[in-house]
Amino acid sequence: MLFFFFVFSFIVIISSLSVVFSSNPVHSVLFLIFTFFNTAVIFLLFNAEFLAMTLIIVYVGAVAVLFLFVVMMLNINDSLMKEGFLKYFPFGLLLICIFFGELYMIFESNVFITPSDIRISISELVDGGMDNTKSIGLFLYTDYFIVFQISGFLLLLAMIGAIVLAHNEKINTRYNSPIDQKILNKKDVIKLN
Amino acid sequence: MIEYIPILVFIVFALIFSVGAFSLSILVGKKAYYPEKMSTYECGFEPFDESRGKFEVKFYLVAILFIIFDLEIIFLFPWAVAFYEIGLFGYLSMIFFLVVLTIGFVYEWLKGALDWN
Amino acid sequence: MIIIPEIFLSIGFLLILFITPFIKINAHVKVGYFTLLIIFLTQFFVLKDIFLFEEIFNGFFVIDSFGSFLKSIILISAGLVIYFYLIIKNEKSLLRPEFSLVILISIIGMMLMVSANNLLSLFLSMELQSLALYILVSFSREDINSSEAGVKYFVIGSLSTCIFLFGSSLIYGLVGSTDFSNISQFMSDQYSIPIMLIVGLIFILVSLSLKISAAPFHMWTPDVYQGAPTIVTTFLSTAPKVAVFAVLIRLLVFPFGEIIVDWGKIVIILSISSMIIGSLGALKQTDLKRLMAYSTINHIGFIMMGLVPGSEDGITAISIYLIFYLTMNLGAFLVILNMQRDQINVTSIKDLSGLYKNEPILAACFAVILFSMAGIPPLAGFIGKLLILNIVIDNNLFFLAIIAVLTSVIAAFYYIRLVKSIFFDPPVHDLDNFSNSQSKFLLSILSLFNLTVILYPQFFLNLCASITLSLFALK
Repeated sequence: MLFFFFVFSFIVIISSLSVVFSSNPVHSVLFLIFTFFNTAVIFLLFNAEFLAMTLIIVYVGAVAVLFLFVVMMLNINDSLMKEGFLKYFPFGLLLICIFFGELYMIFESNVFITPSDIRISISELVDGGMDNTKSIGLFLYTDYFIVFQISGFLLLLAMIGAIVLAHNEKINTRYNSPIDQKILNKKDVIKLN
Repeated sequence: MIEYIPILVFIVFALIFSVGAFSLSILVGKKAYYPEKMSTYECGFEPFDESRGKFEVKFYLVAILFIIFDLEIIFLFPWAVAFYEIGLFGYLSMIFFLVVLTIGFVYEWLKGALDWN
Repeated sequence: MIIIPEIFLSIGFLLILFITPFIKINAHVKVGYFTLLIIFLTQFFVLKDIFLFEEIFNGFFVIDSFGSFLKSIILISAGLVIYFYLIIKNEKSLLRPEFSLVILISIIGMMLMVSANNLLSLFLSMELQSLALYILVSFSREDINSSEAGVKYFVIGSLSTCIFLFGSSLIYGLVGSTDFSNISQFMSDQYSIPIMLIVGLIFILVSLSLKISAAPFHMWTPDVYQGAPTIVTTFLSTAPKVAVFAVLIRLLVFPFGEIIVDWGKIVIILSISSMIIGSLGALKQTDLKRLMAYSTINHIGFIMMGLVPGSEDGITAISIYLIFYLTMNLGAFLVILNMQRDQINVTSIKDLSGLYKNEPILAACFAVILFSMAGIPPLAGFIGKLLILNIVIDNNLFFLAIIAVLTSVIAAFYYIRLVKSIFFDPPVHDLDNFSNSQSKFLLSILSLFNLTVILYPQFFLNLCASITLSLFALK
């Protein structure tokens, strides 16, 4: 198990680095999809089957497609993106060093929760014969009801936002709306003799 | 975990096969490059402009609406699996969630965001 | 039976959303007035239960008087912004019914933020609020600046979200719960606070500073303020700041109150740098909206000082300052909103010159608000500054007080430069007339409030002191 974890997390790290460093944005998206797949495998290794499948369906199936659209839409010029990279590189490196230093300090002290402290222990539920999806279902719609509803509103807002920002109400094409034709009164029509 | 072993075996075989096929064709195949062969092929003409043309924003709208409904369906899965255990409250909670998103759906329908003209 | 205002607001939102497509003529005005009605009714529900204390939804949210009070402030300022939107001449692309709707849903997010009692619910409500703000900033589609500002805001905002999630995951990994009371319990059980918790808190603080535009995380503020449509900038600089301050106060005072030694230093650094950058950065600005952005940063730094002692008086002073800040900002933006040339909003400082010759009363009102922002006695801004400085000096933070006074003096310079330009510079005659009587009336009320607050400061002190008590009841 641990062996597989290390293999797949190594692949995740390499492929996510490739997302950042590959010069062609389309390649970046493809590497991103590869990263998603490997992350899904890591989720599987920890018995989080639902998350793994969600990652594949939502992220690979929908989000990555959207990313491809955006890459196509933006028409990114590769050479312009590289500009300024060297200028900011030392600063970025410094930030990375600080960040990893902090992480090292945190994980060196080795204080992690024991499973008994957790409010809802998924692993206990899974051991008790529930599968992962079911144990999520047991809590998401009851105990975590309000959080679930807020996420519903988030989706609704995303819908409104997409329409506000991307939908053109003015129709410039020569298109006859069937509804307009249906509600047309006889007296409004010009008769051609 | 055991039930995923076939997938692992499948991945390993796919990897061996694809890497093998590629490397064999590189190693064994005959290579003859000449300028005509390497030039871009597009119905016999030189390409007019960049292949990465701009999309219209309409496609983006459809894609993002697809993601939203995709997520809505994802939320239905655990609900369906745990349907008998969560009782009336869980049922109503999902109904409210669906009502919220259906109002959004009606809104976008009436706005004409789903029309394609 | 309590009716939770957020639920009422959400159902009202759904109703309006449902009827919006059916309204064909003047939809943005009608939807705007519907929204105002809903906000007004919600205000009633908020005030009805203001002295209630209860954990709701399995402890995900808490109703207390501190939260209810700030919620009512948020509702008032958002209602005023929608009213501004209705009474002024807007760009054509803003005249869509979705504008008020998106503001309404961002208010829902803010109100949930104010009462969040769990990192998970806090995160989701913060997302609801920020997503609405991203949409608002890029609302005017024909304007390339608006889209640019939207993208900038979105990128910075998602960075802030990532940082928040990372911090919360560290805290969750340590405590095993995202509930504020469990986090607080965990800390009181420990001998020494593990470093992981502190690092997690630092990440959350950074993320909130990005949201509130405290320096050194302020870099997006001037660009976004300038690029966004002015009415959106008005909203951006008022209600969300109150909501994020509520979150900061709740988070720092209650679950993380034990490690005040650790976060106190960070808050001091944030407030000092915000005050310095806010006062120095504004000096060379030629655009009023950019100037207001730096002014906001300066004010935010000043307000943050009140948080340093983590005491009741400090939070009382913050609440009072927030009220005054809102009145000043709304007043100033009301003038900027009305500055139009050929129906197009102009925001250059040069356009203000000689305003006094054309519109004496309006110029006087604006001058009062600017003086109040500068903290000239006896105006409201001065009282707010005095209260916060009082707290700082009481806690023997003399260097902080000195820096605050120095930066206030520098900041006063650019406000007074504006006043000079209004009164003594040769007038430009090509601006449209400020013919709008409603905005004149509102502006005079706001400036009158700033003028007369000195007569009844005790009212605000008592009100805010009784409100903040509930925050410390849990300890």
